Amino acid sequence: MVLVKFFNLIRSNHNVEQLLVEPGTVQQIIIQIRELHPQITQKEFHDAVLFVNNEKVMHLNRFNVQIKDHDELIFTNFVGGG
Amino acid sequence: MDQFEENLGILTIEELESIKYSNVLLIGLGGLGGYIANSLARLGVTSMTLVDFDIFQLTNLNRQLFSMHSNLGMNKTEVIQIAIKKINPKCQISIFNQKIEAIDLDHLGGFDLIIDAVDNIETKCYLENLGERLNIPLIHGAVGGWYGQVGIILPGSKLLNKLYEDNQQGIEKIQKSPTFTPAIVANIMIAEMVKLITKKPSALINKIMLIDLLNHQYKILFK
Repeated sequence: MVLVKFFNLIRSNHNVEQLLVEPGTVQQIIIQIRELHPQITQKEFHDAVLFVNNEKVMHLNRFNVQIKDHDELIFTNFVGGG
Repeated sequence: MDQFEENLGILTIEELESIKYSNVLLIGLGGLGGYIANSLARLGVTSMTLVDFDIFQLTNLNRQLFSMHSNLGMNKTEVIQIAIKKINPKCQISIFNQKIEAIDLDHLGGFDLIIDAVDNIETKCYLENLGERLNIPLIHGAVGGWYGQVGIILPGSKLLNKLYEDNQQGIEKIQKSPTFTPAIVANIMIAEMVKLITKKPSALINKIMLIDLLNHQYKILFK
């Protein structure tokens, strides 16, 4: 199973902290998440920053990245203000 | 009696001296920068350079420490320079009332560290590159709404360029910051600076810590 965690806006907006899903590509995992939490929009996933096992996934490729069994996938948002 | 003796206990006399004689470059004097300048002075730093091109405006009053109705329209650098001297008269403060990108690198030598208190990702990435060119660490901080980030960026890590490379919208474009977010994040940055200067262990070397004050979640990212 893949442990999915949510931080910052995406966590606050939907009160979802973490859940377990089957391995697959990021897009396949998003489909699984949305079956459980349809209120999370595709746009919110698109706007999120992704980390797999604490390493950032490059934006353009991220939906095709394969997430393996026992991986940790984080969806978060960055801040850039001061 | 020394005004900084209350800093003893968590710090030794030698550590206080190393902080006192650190030469700090602080860029950004808004939400984060005001609290950072205040804490630098109260820690006993005696050499700092402040960089900001902006003036105090009405909308700063909700969160910027040194903003007051009496100084609206005044340069942030000059206001804070005067305020810091009142906290610690021995502090030598240089100011640049311009954008950091406009400052000739010849004027930026001799610093021990850079502190990122700017309000946009392009300049944050510029500061990371600047730290690499000057071969000194960058204390990164950022805020937006209930959320913040802190990290110590050593030369060559390029962490901020990785984090911000996709140019997605930051939370600060959706949620403006209340007073407490920059106050908390700024002083976490200061704590990390103290650890860096005094060579204490830090979990944030070449890492970014996410700070969520709404849910009290803290997560350290980047291996």
